Amino acid sequence: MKKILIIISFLLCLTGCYNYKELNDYAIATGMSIDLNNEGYEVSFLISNSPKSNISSSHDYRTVIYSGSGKTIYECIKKIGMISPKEIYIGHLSIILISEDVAKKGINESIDFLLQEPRSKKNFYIALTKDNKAKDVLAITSPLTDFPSQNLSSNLKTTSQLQGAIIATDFNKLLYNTVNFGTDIYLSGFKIKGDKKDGSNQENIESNNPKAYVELTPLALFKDNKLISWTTFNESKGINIINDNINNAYFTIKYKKGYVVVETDKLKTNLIIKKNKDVYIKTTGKASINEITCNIDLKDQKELKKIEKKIEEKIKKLELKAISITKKYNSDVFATELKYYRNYQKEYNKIKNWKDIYKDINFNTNVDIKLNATGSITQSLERSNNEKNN
Amino acid sequence: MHLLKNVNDNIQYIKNINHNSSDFVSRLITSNNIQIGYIYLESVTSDDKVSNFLNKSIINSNNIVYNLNNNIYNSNIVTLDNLDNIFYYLSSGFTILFIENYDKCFAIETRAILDRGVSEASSEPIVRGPKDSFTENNAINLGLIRKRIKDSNLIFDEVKVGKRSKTKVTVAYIKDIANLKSVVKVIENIKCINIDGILDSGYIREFLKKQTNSVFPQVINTERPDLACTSLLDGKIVILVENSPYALIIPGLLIDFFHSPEDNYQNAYNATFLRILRIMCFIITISVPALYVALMTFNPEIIPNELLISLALQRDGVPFPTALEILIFVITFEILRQADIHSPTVSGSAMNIVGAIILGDAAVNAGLVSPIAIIIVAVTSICELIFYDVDMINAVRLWRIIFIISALFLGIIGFLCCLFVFITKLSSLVSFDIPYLTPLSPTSLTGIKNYLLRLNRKFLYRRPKYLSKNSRKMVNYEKDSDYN
Repeated sequence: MKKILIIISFLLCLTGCYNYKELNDYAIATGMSIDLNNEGYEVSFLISNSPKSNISSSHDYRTVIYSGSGKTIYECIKKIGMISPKEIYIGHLSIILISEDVAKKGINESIDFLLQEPRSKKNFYIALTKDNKAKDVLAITSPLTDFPSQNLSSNLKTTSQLQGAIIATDFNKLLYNTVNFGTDIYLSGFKIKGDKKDGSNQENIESNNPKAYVELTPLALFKDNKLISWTTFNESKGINIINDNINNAYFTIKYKKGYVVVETDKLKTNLIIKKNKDVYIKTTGKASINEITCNIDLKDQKELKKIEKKIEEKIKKLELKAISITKKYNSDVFATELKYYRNYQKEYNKIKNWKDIYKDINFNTNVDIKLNATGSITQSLERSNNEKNN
Repeated sequence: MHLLKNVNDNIQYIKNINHNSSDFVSRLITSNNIQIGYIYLESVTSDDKVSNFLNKSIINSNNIVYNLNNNIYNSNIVTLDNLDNIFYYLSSGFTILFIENYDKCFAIETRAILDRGVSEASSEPIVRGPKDSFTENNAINLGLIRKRIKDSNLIFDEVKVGKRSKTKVTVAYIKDIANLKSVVKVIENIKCINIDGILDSGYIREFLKKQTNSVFPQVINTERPDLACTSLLDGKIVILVENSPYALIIPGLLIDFFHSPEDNYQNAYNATFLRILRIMCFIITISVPALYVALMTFNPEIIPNELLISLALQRDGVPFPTALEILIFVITFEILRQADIHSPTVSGSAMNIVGAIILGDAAVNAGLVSPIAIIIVAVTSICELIFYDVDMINAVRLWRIIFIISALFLGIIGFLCCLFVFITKLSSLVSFDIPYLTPLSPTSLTGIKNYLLRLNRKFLYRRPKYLSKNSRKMVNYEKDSDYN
C-alpha cells in the first residue's frame, strides 16, 4: 500500500501541471468580429479584463479591442497574439459579429475555425452587422452594461423574447442549420445609430443621452450560407411565426378609424408538408388587448370576435409576405426540403434540384387565435369619453 | 502482605512503602488497654470526617470491633485482611484503622471533596435543553446518568485500568437494548490495556479505535449527560473514565457527528433542516477551496461569463499562484484558531482584531491576496466550525488540504480522483462492526428516519436494527408494523 502511494505521488509530479494556467494570465475575449479588408480577413477581439489602473485594489476595468489581418481567421488571431501581452482566451465569447461583406462572401470559412478550436464554448450568439464594419459595432459602449459585448448579447436575447422580428441565434443552432442540408439560415443584424466615433468614447457611457448606440435590424436571408437579402420588419415577423421561434409578438390592427394593439401569448405554429409538396401551416395562440384608440365596447362578444378575425387576417398576411420573399430569393428558411426528405424519401430521391421546385410550392396558411384577456378596463377611454359627451 | 500483630509496625510498614510521604497522618490511641492506630493521607481526606466519626466512636468504647461494625456513623466501611490493596484505599481518601491483635483492618471512607460541582457544558453549549455536564468525579458522572434512566437494566461495569493510576473505567449500557457481544468486546478491549496511567478518556479512545490510521473519529466525545443517555437508549455503549469530564460513546458513525443534542429537543422540521445544513457545510468546507483552485488554474471554462471577468481582475497583480495563496490562508487561519483556543480570554479580543484586520483588509490592500480568496477561506472556515467534535474538525482540515493539493496537480480531474479516494476511504471504515457510512450505505430506512433526518417522534417508534436487536422504542404505538 505504501509503495503504491509513493508511486502515485511521484506520478503526480510527472504531470507537470499539464494544463496549468492562472486565470489572470489570460486576456479574456468576450466579443469577436470578422471583417474583410485588402489582406483578406480582419479579426478583432474585445478584451474585457484590462484593469483601469495598475493598483490592484481598484477593480475598475475597461475594454480593449485588438485586431489582426490575414488570409485565414487563424492567421489573424496569431497576429493579435503578437500585440497582446497575455494569451487570448476565447472560452467565454458571448457574441460574434460578422460584417455584411463577409456574409455575402459566405460564412463557412469563419465558422470552421470556431468549430475546430477546442477551448471555445460554442454557446455564443452570432449576428451580422448592417452598413457598418463589425469592428466598429463591437466598440460601441452602452451605459447600461459593463462592456459592449454584454450589451450586444443581452440586447439580442431580450429583444428576441419580446419583439417577434428578432431571433437570437446561438452557435449550436447555426451549426445545425448550416451543416444540415435542405435548410437555409437567417440571422439578425446590428447597425450603429449615430456617429461611430462618439460611440466608443468614455463620454458615451457617462452621458445620460448617448450620442451613439447599436440597434437591432430585422433578419437577413441566406442562400447556400451566403447573404442574399435583408428583410423588412414584417417579413421577419412572418418568418419567425412560421418557424415557431416566438411566443410573444404584438400586432397593430386597424379597426374603426383607430387602432387595436394586441399581444399574443403561447403562439404555436405547425408546418406540415404533404406528399404532393403542399405545405400546410397552422398557427394557434392566445392574444390579449394592450391598447385601443377607437370606440369599442369590450363587453360585446361580437366585437371581440371581429377583432379576433382581424388578428388572424393580420398574421396570415405576415406569413404570406414572408413566404413570398423567401420564394423571391429562393431561400428555404422553413426547411421544407429537410422535412420532405425525412418524410418521403422515395419521392425525394426522384427530385434533382429542390430549388427549382421551391418557387412552385403551394403554401396553405391557417390561423386560429383566441382573444381571451381584455386588459384591465372593460371600455376603451375613447368610448367612455364619447358617452359622457352624449 | 499479611497484617502484622503490632499496630505501629503496620503503620510504619505503610509509611515505608511510600518513603514517608509528607501527607501521611497517623495516630495511635490506647483505649481500654487496646492499642488502636489509624493512618490517612491528608491530601485526599477530610480531617473533619476523621475527627467526627472515627475518633468519637473509638475513643472510650468498650468493644471496639463491635462498635466499628455496628455503631459508627459512616456508610462505607471495608474490612481488609491483608495490606496488598492498602495504597489504593489510602489514595481514594479512606482512613485505615488497625486494632491490636485483630487479624483484620478497616478502611473507612473519609474522602475529601476535591471536585468542582456540576457546571454548565462549556464545549457543547445549546440553546434549549438540559445544561448540566459531566465532571471529574466518577460517582457524580454515574449519578447524572442514573438519575435520567431509572431502569434496573442499566448496567455499570467497572474496570480498573492503569498500572500506576488505577483509574476506574466504567462501561455503561442497557442490558436489553445494547448489543451484548460488542459490550463484551469493549470490556475485553479495555481490560487488555496495559499502560502506566489513564488521565483522560482520550487515552481509552485510542485503544478502542481499531483502524488507528484513519483520521476520522469513530468514537463520540461528549460532556453532556443527556447525549450519553440518548445514546444509551439507542443501544450504544457509554464509557466513563474517572477524572475525565468527557464520556465516550461507541460506535461513532459519520452521521452522528452531524448531530447536536439540541436536535432532540426541537421541532422536527427545524432539526431535519439543521442536519441537512450541517451536511452541506461538511461538503462545502472540504471541497470549496479545492474547486476554486481547480477552476482558477485549469478549468476556467466552467466559470459563468459574468463571474470570470471579475475573478480575473481580482487576481490581477497577486504575486502568488492561486493554490499557494489559498494554502497560506488556510494555514494562517488554523494558526489563529489555535492561538485563540489556548490564549486567555483577555487577550482573545485583541487577537480577533489583529486577525480580522490582517486577514481581511490589509492583505487585500497590500496586493498580497485577492478578495475572493479571503471569501473562500472565510466560508470554509466558518463551515468547519459547525462540528462539536474536535477530531472531526481535524479530519476535515486534513482532507481539505489533500483536496487542494490534488486540485493543484490535475484540476477538476484531480479533484474528482481525490473525491473517489475520499469516498472509498470513508466507506471502508468500520466502527465496532458497523460500517462507518451506515445508515446511508448500507441503507437502513429506520436509520435514515432517526439519524439522517429527524422525523416527528411519533414516526420514530423503532430503533435501527444495526444498533440493537430490541428494536421497539414505543411499545404501544398502534402504527407499529413489521418492516425495518
